[in-house]
Amino acid sequence: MIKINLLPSYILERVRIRRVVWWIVGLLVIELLAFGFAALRIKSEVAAAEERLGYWQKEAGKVTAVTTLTGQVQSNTTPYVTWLNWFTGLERHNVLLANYLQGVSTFIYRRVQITNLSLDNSRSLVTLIGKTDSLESLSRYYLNMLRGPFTSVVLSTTITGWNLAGAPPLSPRPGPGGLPYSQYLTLPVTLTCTMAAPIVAPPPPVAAQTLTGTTPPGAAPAGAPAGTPSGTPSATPASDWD
Amino acid sequence: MRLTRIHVLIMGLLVVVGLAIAFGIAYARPQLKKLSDTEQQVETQRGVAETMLSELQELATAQADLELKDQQTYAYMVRMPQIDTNQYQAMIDLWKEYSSVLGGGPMMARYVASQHGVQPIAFSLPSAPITPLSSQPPVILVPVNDFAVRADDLPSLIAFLRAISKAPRMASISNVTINGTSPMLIASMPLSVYLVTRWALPGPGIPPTSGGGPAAAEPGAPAAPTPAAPPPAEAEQKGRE
Repeated sequence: MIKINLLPSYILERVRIRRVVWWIVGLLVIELLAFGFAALRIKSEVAAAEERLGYWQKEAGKVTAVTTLTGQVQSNTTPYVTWLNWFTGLERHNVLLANYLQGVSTFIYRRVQITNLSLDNSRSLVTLIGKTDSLESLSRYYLNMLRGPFTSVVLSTTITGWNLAGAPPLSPRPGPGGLPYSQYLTLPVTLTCTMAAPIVAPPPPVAAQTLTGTTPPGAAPAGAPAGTPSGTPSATPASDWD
Repeated sequence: MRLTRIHVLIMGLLVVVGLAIAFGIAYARPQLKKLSDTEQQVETQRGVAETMLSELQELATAQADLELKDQQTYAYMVRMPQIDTNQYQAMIDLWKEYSSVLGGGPMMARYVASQHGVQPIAFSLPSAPITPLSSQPPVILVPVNDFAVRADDLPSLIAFLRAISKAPRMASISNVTINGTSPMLIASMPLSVYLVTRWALPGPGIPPTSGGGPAAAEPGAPAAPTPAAPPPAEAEQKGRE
């Protein structure tokens, strides 16, 4: 049997449109539900991340506190290091001075007798006054000292009536009539040597108060402490003084 | 023109897509960015927190170093005299230092004489102060301008110069003049004796005070001026040796 639809086309179109609208509404509902679910999910993840952040920030704060404490301890160590460096530097200074003198002595020729050795750090000078026995010894002495720990060596001597004969034996002649070796040391020699660098004691980390010891009239001599001075407020009884 | 289902379909799809885009732009994107930034911060803080072990080790090292430096400094400070913070007592402490250590007594002269091949022949100090010290100097320098020894030979003298570093008090020499010949070598050398007072250093590491106060005083804070009291014998002995 043939079906004939006698409804006008616009009515049929209206039905089809209504059907499409319902599909779209359904799609919208599903979409809104999906959005809600996604929003809740994102919100919970953000909250969890913030909670983790709070925890790790607290832990990192503890590390920062330890780091700060370490810095404080290290800065507390600095004054000790400063003083220790000075103490050890002072000890080392005396040893350096002794070593330098020992070094100078190793360059002194054995045929030279030194009667005065002066080390002046303020002028960086080492002055050696002595005597030797011959020009050969003098030249050997001078050449030796040129190899020493100096930047310059200045020789001064006075050649007056010395013996042109060869150098006498080093040891005194045995038997009667032998002269001691010192009798042959007739050639005075003075060497003025300039140190490469002065050996200066390190100054203390803080300025030191120097006791100049200006002695007022009637006071005790140097080295002997005075009794309680007149006019000075007596903070302690006299019995405290030995 | 009449609305057909194609029109409605297109409009509906436009609404659906528009809503999705609006949701993405207005909500999803900022929240996801916030999540990403938070995760990044978490990683950064976690990296910092995981260095706790090494930081604790560094702290332990710093504390051990401080303790070591404290002990090393103490070893030098026991060679220093006990100079009181009170200016009057400080003056008297210096008198006692002059008489029992530096001057005609004792300790320095005995030390010099104990060195092999060397005898002291001159030791002249400046006059002791007869007025209270005007301030609390952390370091007091006592110049011994007339100090001379007799040595048997140069090696003995050089050994003595090295041994000055181990004298009862910290001292240094600057110039040396040696006269004569062995065994009568006369060496004269100006000596600078340094007396470091206990308030020169921070609190820990300071030997017990002559007044019997605790060793761990506040850093940099000298004891309040008090009337001079007889020091305990033990503390005085420790300070003098």
